[in-house]
Amino acid sequence: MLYLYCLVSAGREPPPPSLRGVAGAPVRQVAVQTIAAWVSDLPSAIEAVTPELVRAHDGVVREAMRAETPLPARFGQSFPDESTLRRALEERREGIARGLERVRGAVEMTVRLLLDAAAPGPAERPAVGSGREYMAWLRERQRAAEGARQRAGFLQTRVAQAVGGLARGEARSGASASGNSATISHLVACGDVTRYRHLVHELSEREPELRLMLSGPWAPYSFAELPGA
Amino acid sequence: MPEHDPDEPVLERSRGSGAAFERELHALAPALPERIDADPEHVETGLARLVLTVIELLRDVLEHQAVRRMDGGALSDEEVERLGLALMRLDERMQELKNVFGLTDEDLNIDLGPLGRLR
Repeated sequence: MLYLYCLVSAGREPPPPSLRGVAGAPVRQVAVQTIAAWVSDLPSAIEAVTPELVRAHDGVVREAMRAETPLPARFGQSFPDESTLRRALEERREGIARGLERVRGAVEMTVRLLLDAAAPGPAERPAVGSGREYMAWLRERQRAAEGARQRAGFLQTRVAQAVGGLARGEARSGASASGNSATISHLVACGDVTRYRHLVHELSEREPELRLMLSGPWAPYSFAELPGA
Repeated sequence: MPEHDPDEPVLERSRGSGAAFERELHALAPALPERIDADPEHVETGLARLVLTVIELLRDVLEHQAVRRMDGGALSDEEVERLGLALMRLDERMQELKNVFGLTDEDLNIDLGPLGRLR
């Protein structure tokens, strides 16, 4: 079983022999023409997500970032054997090369925004007796969710406008599972990270009601979708 | 804003929002996506989660449609009452099934990627 961390250009340095990934497994490179995958051999697929495993995955991706921005794989992606992985890389070679070109020299910066101005809405179903009351409750719940979506979009646009010139790409995620926050991520050139931080900081100072949390730089997890995939 | 090594990930928060973000991140942590459990002893629960998630998705569509029809004036009072009762019973049946398999609402709130979460 091959566990996949990220995709890189084949011409670069392979992973250092001392590098360890998930479950402490060594990391090696599988190259197919101009592209390569950083992988670990594991006895079986990973069945549960733990913070330690996610950190180990990100640690390998971060090591790859030292030389060149990779296309990070989603956590938990594995292949039954090397020939299956090679076939998958071969089939998507052009898309991967375009993806690598897109993220070259860039990192991901993420801003999480609290949506607490939006009405929380009726989370728990009240003890209702009639069908009409139940329908009214459903309507309220749907309106609250729509309000959170609109609030998320509004706040995300404020951030996007503040950093607009620096973003090479943008990815938004709607209201979180809790309904209390949303994120906006930008693909930013490595040389622009400090400026990006300043712009977000200025926005937060200018508009203190905008409650935000900035994190990064990260590997471009939100920008690893392959074109045409 | 303090200067940072641009290669190191950092976390910065708006003034006074630390506690609120801490609460939010704690609320989000259990929502980390899990994989279907392939352990033979637990596979039933994994499958039930998958099936109930699909039903939950359909139920969500039905509920939206029902509210839209009600708000559009397309339903008589009697129809609103009947539809509401049907959806309420569906909700109760779903709660029973979730209890049987030890699942929570959050277990069925799957992440649909770019479309966001189910609820």
